[in-house]
Amino acid sequence: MAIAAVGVVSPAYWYLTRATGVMSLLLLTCVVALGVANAARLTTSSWPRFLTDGVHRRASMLALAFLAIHIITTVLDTFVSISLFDAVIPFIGSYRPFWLGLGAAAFDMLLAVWISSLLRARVGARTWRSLHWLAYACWPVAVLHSIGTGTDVHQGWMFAVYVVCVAVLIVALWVRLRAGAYMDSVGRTAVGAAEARGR
Amino acid sequence: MRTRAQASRDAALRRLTRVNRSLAAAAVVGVGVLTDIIAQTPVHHSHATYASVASAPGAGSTARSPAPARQHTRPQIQTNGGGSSTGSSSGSSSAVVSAPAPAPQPAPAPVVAVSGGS
Repeated sequence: MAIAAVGVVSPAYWYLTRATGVMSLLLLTCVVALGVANAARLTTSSWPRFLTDGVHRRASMLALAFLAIHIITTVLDTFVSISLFDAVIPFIGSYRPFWLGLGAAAFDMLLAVWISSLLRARVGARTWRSLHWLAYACWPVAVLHSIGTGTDVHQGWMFAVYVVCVAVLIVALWVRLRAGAYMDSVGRTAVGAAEARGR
Repeated sequence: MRTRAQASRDAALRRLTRVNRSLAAAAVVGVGVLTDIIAQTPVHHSHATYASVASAPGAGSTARSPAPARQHTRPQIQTNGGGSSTGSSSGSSSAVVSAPAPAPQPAPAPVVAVSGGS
């Protein structure tokens, strides 16, 4: 009853929704960057690859946890009626359906990535890998959701958050593409050597 | 008997635990800091957007009733002090103070409890 009263009159849910949304975006950026570092096999002698993998997993769990709080507080905030279905199923809500739907789509994609990672041994490496590409799609969708429906878009600190996230992701994509090109060249060299040996 | 590889692996695992704990703590503290920043940030224009959407007859058909109740400008502080209180108010507080009579509000009861929010 006290919680319901707070939900009616207090802006605490609204503040928490915005704060957890920003934190989820930061953590999602961190997760994508760590995943790229893991896929590119970036290691040092003092930082083995399993450390990157472990932090990547923990950061993704934290991102999902804060995303869950973001959704729950959005639903609990009674200022605008957003149901749990509106927050989870894309583009069905009455309040800003497109921008809110982008957030729901990003959440669904992240959920698919997480569940496929939990069931990695069952679904197989190929399915897991193809589903994991959704993480790359999830990030820009989440940013668009934030820009489209975020309250703090015009604040200076939020602009700084966007700049940091975009810069981190551009560097991560550059590293990923470079690592992919390197892997391709190594693979091509190996195939060429094998063919030469076969002749 | 522990080999050198085992020792380095254990050290890396300890580092992983430490990094993970620091990450979680930083995230929680970060949310607290962000909430504090957000609570102190005046966002009147989005309020208007929220209020207009919530009170719109067609679009917000599922919006619940207490739409105009969310005011972050703390009306209690602005009514008792003439000019000495809260330097954060530039234009909106004068507008609130200069308003001679409050508009007829149908349900003013829950607004009293707002001030404990932030």
